[in-house]
Amino acid sequence: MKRLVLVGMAIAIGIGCTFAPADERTGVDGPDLGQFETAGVGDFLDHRCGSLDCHGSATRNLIMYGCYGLRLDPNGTGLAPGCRASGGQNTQTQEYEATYRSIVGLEPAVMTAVVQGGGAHPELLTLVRKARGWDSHKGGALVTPGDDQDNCITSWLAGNADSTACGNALTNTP
Amino acid sequence: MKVRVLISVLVLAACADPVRSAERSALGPEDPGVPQGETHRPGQPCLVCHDDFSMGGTIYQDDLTTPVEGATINLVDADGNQFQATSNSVGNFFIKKSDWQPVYPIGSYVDANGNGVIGVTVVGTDPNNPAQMITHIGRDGSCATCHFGSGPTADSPGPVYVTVVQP
Repeated sequence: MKRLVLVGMAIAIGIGCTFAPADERTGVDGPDLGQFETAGVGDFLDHRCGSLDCHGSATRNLIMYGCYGLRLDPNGTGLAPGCRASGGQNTQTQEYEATYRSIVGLEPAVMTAVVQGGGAHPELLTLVRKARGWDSHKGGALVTPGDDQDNCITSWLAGNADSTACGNALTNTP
Repeated sequence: MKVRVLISVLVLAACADPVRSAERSALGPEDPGVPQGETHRPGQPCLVCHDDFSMGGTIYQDDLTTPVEGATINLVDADGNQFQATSNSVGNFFIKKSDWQPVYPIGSYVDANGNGVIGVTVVGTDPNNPAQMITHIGRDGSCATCHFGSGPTADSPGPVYVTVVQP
């Protein structure tokens, strides 16, 4: 019995001394970056959420970049708020990527679970719950499950972004 | 007696919002040549101090420094409710909550009847050349929260301005 306890202790100590490599990285499964730009997901989110007094502020945890608000301007290109329709420049690829990283990096483990689950439970993400008003959100409830705005986000999370829903959401909301 | 005063002071201090206090301090002192009132602090975010305002801002000419008096600010909120304000001698305008409390966001969109809605339109001296806001106001009624500085930058479109036709 005593020997068994000693063996058990030795195994426990052995496990306890096993360290992860200092340079170990944990992967994140995110939704498709290409669809984020081409299907209009990024444009809709920038339009709806990225005004300069909301998520178009660099002080927020979730930051959205684009022509509807905050410009990324990483190379000092002189980009200012305002899309092409108002004389500015539309959202650049680098800005879509920066917004994408902000969204995916907000809750990487949850995002991985949602994406690996085929987007069946988008409500696991704070992003979705706040947009629906299910969690406290300064901007209030902005989308309703099943409407174009909600479908734009959830279809992207499910791997097949609905560009029609995103287009309608972009046009029909302030 | 002293204890009661001390407790009152501590209670009041505890109720102060440090973020709001810092925002107010950052605005700096009053211009000694301008009395506190409707013409003070043009270009600053009104609602940082004026809790009884729902919106407020300053309208400039396209040189971004000369104020526009008599500009008309037409507003339509997310529910289609409308309000109109007029800028004063220093370009300032403000709306009290008791007069209008908009439903945010205020912006441009196509309504359920297929009609285009422009959330913010500013008309200077030329009714045929209004300034229309393309992006939207998410929740902050102070124009200067976003419209600041001396011109467009990555985080601001610069001051609100309209083109003024000289007579």
